[in-house]
Amino acid sequence: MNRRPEDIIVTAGLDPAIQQDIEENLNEPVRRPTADDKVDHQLLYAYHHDGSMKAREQLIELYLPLVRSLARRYSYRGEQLEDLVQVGCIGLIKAIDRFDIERGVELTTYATPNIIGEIKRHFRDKGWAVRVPRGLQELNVRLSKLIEELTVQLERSPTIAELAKASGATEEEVLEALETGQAYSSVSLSSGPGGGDDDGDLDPLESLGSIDEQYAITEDRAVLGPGFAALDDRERFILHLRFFEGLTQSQIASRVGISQMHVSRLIRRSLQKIKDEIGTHE
Amino acid sequence: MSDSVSLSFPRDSRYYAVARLVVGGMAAPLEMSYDALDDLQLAISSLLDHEDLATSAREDGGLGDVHLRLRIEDHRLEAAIGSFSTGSLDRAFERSATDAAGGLGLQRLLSTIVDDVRVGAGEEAGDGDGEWITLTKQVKALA
Repeated sequence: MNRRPEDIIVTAGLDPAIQQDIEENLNEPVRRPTADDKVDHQLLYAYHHDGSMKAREQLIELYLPLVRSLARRYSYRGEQLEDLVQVGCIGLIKAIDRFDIERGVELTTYATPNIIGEIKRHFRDKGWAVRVPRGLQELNVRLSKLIEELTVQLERSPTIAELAKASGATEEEVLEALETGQAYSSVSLSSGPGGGDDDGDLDPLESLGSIDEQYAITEDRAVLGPGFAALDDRERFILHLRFFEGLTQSQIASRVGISQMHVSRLIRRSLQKIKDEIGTHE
Repeated sequence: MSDSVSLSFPRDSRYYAVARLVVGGMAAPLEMSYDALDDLQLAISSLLDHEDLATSAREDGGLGDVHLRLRIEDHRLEAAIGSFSTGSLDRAFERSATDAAGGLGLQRLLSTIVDDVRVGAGEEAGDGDGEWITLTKQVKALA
C-alpha cells in the first residue's frame, strides 16, 4: 500500500495483472507522510491537506535557493537580480499552490518551469522601457512580418495606409504600434545572446541571418574609428551598408536575411552603442 | 492656410516618442513609405539625442522647449527643429567628420537618411535667437 514512486521502476517487466494492481494502489489517496519522508513532501501535505500557511512559508524558504539560481541565469540582461528573484518567487508560490500532491512528481520538477515562465513573462511585459499595451505589442510583431511581405509583393517599402489595410488596424494604430517597437529598452536589445531563451523577439542577436562574406569589408577598424570597434561584425556591416553604401533598410534586410524592422532596430542600437562608446572616451 | 503642424515639447527624451508619432501622422496621408518615415524619424531622434547639441543648449540656458514644425510641400515633408545654440549644429557637423565615430557622425547620418539639410535662423517671429535645422524628405511616387 505505502508504495513510493521508485517502486514503479521495479515493477517493470512484471506480470501485467500485478502491475495493474500496483498502479491502482498508487492511485489511492495520498497517505499522510511520515517523518521519514522528504521535508518538502511533508510540508506540501501539511499545506494542501491541513491548510497550514506556515508550511507554505517554509516551502517558499526551502526553494528560495532554486529561485535564486534560476534568476541569476537571467540577470545579465540588465535586470536587477533581486527584482528577478521577486518575480521568480511569484512563480514558485504559484507552483506550490497549484502543486498536485497526488501526481507523484517532485516539486522541483514542477516549480522550475513555473519560475522560469514567470521570469520570462516579466521580461516580455517589463522589458519595454515604456509599458506598452499588449495589443500594440502584438500588432508590432504582426507589422514586422507584413512589412517584409508587402515589400516583396510591392517591390518597394509599403506605406502606412497599406500596412493599416493589410493588418486591419487604423493608420493611427499602425503608427503607434511601430513606435512601440522603439520603446524596447536599450538594455534588452543590447544584452548578450540569451542562453536557452525562446523569446527570440527579445533578443535580436538570436535571430542572426546568414554570414555574409562582405562582413570583412568593415573589418578595418583603424579606418572606421574606435566608435565602430564597440560594434559586432554584423552591426558594423549594417551601418556600413546603410551609411557608406547607401542601401535602404529593405535592401539591407534582404541582404542580411533579417526583417526590415529588425534592421531599423539594429541601426538605432548600433548608433546608440557608438554614442555610448565615444562618451566613455571623453 | 498652410499644410503645417507645430509641436512644442520639453527637451526630455520621454517626449521624443510623441514627436515621432506626430511625424508619422503627417507622413501617413502623404503615402510616405515606411522606409522613408523611419529615416525621417531617426534623423529627428538623432538631433534630439545628440549630446553635444544638448550640452550646448544647456550652456545657453536651456533654450526652452523644442519646437518641431512639420510642413507639407508638394511631394515632400519638411521638419524644422529648433532651437539649438548658435553655431552648435555646424560644430557638430564638423566634428563628426573626424571624430571617434569614424565618420559616421551627424553629418553623414543626416545626409544619408534625408534629402536635404538646412541650418539657419528661425523663420517665424518668436523662434528665438538660436539656430534651426530643416530636414526634408521627398515622398517618392508609388510604383
